[in-house]
Amino acid sequence: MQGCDLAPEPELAVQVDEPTLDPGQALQPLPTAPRVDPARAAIGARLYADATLSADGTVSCATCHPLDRAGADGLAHSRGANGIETPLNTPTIYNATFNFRFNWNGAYTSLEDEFDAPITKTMDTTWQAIDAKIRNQPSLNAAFSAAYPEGVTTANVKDALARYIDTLITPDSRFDQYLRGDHDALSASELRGYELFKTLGCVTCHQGANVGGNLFQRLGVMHDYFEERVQRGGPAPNQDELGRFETTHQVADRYVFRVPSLRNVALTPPYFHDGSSATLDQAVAKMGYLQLGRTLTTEQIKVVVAFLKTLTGLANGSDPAGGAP
Amino acid sequence: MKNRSLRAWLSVGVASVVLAAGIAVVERRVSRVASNYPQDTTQLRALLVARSELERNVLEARAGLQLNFDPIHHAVLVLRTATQEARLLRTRGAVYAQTAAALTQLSEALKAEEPALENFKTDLALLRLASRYFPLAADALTQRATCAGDKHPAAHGGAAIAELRTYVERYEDQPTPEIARRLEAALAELDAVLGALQADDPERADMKVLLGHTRAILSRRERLDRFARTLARAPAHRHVEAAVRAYEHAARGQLVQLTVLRSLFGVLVTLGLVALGFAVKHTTRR
Repeated sequence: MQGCDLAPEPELAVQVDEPTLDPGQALQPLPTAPRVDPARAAIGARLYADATLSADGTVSCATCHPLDRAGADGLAHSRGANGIETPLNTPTIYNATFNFRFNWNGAYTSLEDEFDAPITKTMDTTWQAIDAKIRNQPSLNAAFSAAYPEGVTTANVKDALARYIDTLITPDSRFDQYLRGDHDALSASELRGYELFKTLGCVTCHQGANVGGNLFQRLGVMHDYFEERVQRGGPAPNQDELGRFETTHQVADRYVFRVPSLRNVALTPPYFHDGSSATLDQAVAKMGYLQLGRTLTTEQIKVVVAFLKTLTGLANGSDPAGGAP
Repeated sequence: MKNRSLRAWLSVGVASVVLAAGIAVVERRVSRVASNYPQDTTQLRALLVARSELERNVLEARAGLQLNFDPIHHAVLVLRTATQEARLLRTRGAVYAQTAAALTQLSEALKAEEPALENFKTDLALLRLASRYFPLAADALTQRATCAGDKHPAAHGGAAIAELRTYVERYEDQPTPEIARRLEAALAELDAVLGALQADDPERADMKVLLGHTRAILSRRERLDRFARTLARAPAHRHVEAAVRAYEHAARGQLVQLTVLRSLFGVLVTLGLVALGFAVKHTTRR
């Protein structure tokens, strides 16, 4: 107001604590991979990369979830078989095994159930067709017979894939090392970013070992994301963007999504279910505005992004993006 | 006479041995089923522990002692195995029918409960955010209202904001219907102030944020407490306890059955051997 100097908004108090492994704290280190049958996981690895299983022979799981690109293809919308474009952005496959539900709308409670969606919608095929193709590959057929008493069945194909995905985790990020007591794992700026991540309240939804992936939340808590997107000239929300409403049919569940994990987030742009934010800085600013009702300063965004970069882990000893973290 | 005695001993001996063989077959079947006792009890106790963990973690999350939802998720994962366990027990025979039925009831109860559990987590996250930001939003608006001067619509909101703060604090402490009504009244007053502001007025956005936080606190605080109370009284815990009891009862029954069968087997084998022994003795005497 004219002639009225408003006091600046108080800086949120940031206190840097010693790293601890308190099971009640918001962020936890990533656990080790669950024990899986190596023979079954090996079959899953072959299936994961096998494009011949799709309708037009061009698309495999690795097409949208390439392991040398941190488990996501870097596109706003992935391209499936027969020119199909996925309606929503593809999240990373890494650490997916730790999510409480699968798919943006959280419709699936297990990986095995979730596979139905990409098989039919992205690979444009059916399980019967996939089973038949596998049986026609002698070495794969033999591998199934050796690992599963029933041989090639849809349930066993799903199991093999799920067991392989169980192995796709990225432990030992610098942040995990910090939580386990390595005081030098994070720089001062990254530590400040971590503490700001907590005091701003990002951690109310992005918590747990997977820094998200364990609850539902509305996109647009303080401001209407979709209304403002339309005002900016963007599209109105489509059926696939209704989120949890698709399964519960409760109006309150419109635009409520499974909160994504922030593990390796620095390596997996673009961001949000519609891939609308190209950079992590933009995504952090948008989240501050939409979910917290705050306009974050440049400095705040910078340190939070610095912290998020420390969530980059190493997959089986190598960088999930195929380069330096 | 001697022939009759011989025939009698032979009959008793053969009959005893045949009966013993039959009992051995039954004993083997019961024994095979009973041998699953260690893993069955481990699984059932895991379900009981998981249910207790779920209830404890919901309460701790509500109290602010548990800041991540992973333990709730892990408990749910274990509880979901009840369906599979029920199916497995049914294949083992009617002796476990009651246990399987209790586990099926547990699965159904959990399925009915899961949507509310997910809402609880979502609501709790929103309440935490709203509680954190409400004071900041109120401070900012109060300051604006003070600076605005008497002629600006926002100035009239100053007293309403102060009243709102008081009621929010009281409601967060103890969500009673009376305080909820007063909060609603304060919100209505601020809605009127909001309505009087111009679209480009900077206070408008701040006011909307404040009202948003307040409504989040109002709608979620009591709902969260209600869910936590309901969970503790939910039938799921009773179902898993009933499953454990039914299983133990079935296992004890099987143990008694095995003891009887084995004793009977011993008696019949002894009788058979004795009878056949006498039969042989008769034959050699002749």
